[in-house]
Amino acid sequence: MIRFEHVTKTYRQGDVVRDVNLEIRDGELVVLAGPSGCGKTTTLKMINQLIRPSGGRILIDGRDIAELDAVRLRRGIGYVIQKTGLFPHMTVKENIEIVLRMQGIGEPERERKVSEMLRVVHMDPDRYLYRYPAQLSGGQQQRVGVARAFAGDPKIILMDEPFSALDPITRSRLQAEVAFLQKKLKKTIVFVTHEMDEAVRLADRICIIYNGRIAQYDTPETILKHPADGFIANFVGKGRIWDTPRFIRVGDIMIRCPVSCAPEASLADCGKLLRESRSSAVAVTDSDRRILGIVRASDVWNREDPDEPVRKIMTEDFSKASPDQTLPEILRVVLDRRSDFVPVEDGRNKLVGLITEENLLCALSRKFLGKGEKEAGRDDDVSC
Amino acid sequence: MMTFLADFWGMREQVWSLLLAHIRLTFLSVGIAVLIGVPSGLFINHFRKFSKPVLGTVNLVQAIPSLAMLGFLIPYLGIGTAATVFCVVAYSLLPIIKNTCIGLGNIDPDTLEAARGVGLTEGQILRNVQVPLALPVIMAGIRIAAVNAVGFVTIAAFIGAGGLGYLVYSGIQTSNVDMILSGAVPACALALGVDFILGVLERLVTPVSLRNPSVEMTKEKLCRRKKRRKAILLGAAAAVLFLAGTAVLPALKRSKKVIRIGSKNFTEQLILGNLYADLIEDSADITAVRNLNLGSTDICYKALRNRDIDFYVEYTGTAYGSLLRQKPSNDRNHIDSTVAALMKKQGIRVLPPLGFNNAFVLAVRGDTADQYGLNTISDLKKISGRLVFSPTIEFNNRRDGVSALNSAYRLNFKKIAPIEGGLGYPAIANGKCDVLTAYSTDGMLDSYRLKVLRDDRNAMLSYYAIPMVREETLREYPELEGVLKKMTGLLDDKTMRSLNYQVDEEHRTPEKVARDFLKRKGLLPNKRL
Repeated sequence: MIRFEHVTKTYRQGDVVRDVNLEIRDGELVVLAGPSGCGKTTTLKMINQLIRPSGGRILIDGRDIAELDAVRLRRGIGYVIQKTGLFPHMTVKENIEIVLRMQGIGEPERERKVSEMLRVVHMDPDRYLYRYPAQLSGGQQQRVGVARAFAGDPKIILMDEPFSALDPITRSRLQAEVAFLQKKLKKTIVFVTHEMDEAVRLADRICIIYNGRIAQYDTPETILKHPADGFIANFVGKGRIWDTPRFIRVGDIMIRCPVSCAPEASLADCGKLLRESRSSAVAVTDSDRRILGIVRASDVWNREDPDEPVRKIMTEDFSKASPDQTLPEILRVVLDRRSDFVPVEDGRNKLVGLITEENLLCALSRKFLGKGEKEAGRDDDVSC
Repeated sequence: MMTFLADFWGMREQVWSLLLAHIRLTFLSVGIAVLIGVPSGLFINHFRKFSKPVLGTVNLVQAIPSLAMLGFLIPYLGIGTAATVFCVVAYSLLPIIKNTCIGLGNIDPDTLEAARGVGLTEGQILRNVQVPLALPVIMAGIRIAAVNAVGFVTIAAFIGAGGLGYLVYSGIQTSNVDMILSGAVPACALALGVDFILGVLERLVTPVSLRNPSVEMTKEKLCRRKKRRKAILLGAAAAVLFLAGTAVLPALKRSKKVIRIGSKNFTEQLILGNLYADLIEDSADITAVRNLNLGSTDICYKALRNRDIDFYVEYTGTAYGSLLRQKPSNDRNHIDSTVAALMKKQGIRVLPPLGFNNAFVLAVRGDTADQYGLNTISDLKKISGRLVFSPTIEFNNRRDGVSALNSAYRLNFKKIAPIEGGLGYPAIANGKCDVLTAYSTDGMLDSYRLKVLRDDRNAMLSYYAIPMVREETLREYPELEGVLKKMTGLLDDKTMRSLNYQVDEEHRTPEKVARDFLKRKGLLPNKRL
């Protein structure tokens, strides 16, 4: 675990990092994001002591790093930077093995390890071991950079905008690989970027830094849905959430407090409800708003006895959703089951909302119609 | 061309030994400069605030004229190797320090940050990243310094450091173009050779990936390359050490009985130096080290006082006027006794004169003399406004020189264009000047058919050749005084001029001329030589 306690960094021009308190849990991928010059890179470099804090302290597994030997500390922390930082006069092998060599690890062991690392980043050792950095593409260079960072098997890896110089396709491929590696090897990764897409894509948690302070530190979903202030909302960008449908949940788009009727209600009352709500069905609930079934409009209009209780014609064969389900999931339900009326119930089986075809259409249209529409995820977004 | 080749062949042994001395001096100096310069460059790259003062200082040193620096150093470092090496090192520092700085400064900061970030210590970064990446630029600096040093060592012959400059200077002094070429051509070749070898070395230390971006590297090639590189670098280091060793060793094993003979840088002095050296080596069991062809009177005198040399031949007028700074006098006895007494105070014994008087004379071309009917210096008075006068630099500066002459004869030349030594003869022959100062024993007075103007007002000092030797040397080798005195009164003006003529015009070497003279006089009875 990495913990920042009241960490400050002051240069002659002023404070670059102000009173940062931050906790990064083991095995987490935390992205430090923010506009350029906000202090995110400075914050990162204080972890491996490339920059020493002016105040406060940084603890790794409970030990103050200021008391550790900087070189020993860095050998336990992988480091990847934007322009790869590969040594131009060394082969790929020499680049990856340099720290192992400095630690006195023998040649056979080093060669084995380097080859293994190259395979991990999907590069063929036979082809690339003795290439020089200048003979590799940008993406390959950065793969080597990643391999070097992982080679010493460190618990922590720092990445300073590692992919921002790459083309979008290479970048997204490498992002996927890093995410995969991190989960597989259970590394703690601190990743700096100024691109929100990248942050959302990779992060377990995002720490948004602005003006040297932590503006918000939370999961990508929360930051997208509930930006702490206008600056963050702006930095995150309008409609950004629509680029990440897995963060859009049923609870965000459902019709809240939907009408329902009791099982004893007459078909006439029910028909009135249906007409008023212009809905294709209505949920039937008990006195605790637990869902018993639904009544479809077509069934109501087919019956002749207006005083018949809805209980008689309600069906228990319907799809239900929970507020935590994501947009893709509910879309699949609607499409697969061909149900245009999906009641949403909470953990205690109580009716809390509705998903209808119309309301899905309305929600999806925001991604494409964008401007002027209200943000998804707001409480007042779609209501009864 | 043919005469040059013939002369060159005749001097091949001398050229070869001077070339070796030249190489030794160059490598020794550049080696020391590298040992100082590269660490300095590393230092100021790390501690930036020292960068300006250090670079400023070495820049300033670069601006000091080399002869001035040599002259300045003689009182402290003496003549010969030490002062030369010091100077060359001083001049070599700028390119080495500067290139070290540039080489290190050119390294991408990201590369260095990555090196720190992955956990290399400062020392490891220096060895594994900074030095390998900066080495090509550092080597380029060393290459510049080395090529410059070859040229500079040529100048160092001026203070008796030897090297090919010796031939260039001797050649200039005696107007012997072939001799100049014999020194200059090998010096050029050496400079080109050094440039080539260091160029190869520079290529060798350039990382292969930076030199040839499309290189196909394999494990085996990498191994082989590393081995080869190691071997060549070791070889180069060994060669430098060997050369430095050969430069230092002779100094360490100076044999027990040695006398160091100095001389100024003109023909007569070279003959006299060789004469005494041969005489001593034949008559006494003392090794004579020849520190001949030293730049000027001043350097000889300082060297004698500093114990860098034990003996050289001075002239009474020079000792009296220039060295001891006495008021001008025309009384020979007064001059002789004053010089002897004042030199004694400095621990220097003045031996009885050799016989000839090598006074300054004014000479004009035959046609000038005929045109104006010139016989004496007084005859110049009416027409001096139309003539260009070229005294030697020394004569121009001394109290009894140009100014004394001008006031005694009320001369007022159109222009005074000082010129050094033997260069005056071709100058006057080509009409670049009309009146020349010459020495009465110059062999070239005859060969250039110049007319000597009589000093009818006795304004010029007399310049009798006097051997000067350190008192302590005489005490150390009691047999020496007798040997040196064998020459007393043996050389009159005519004899000396003919010896000079043999060197200047017949292009015989001073060594040969001196030895033949001694043989003729029966002064080499032991035939040890």
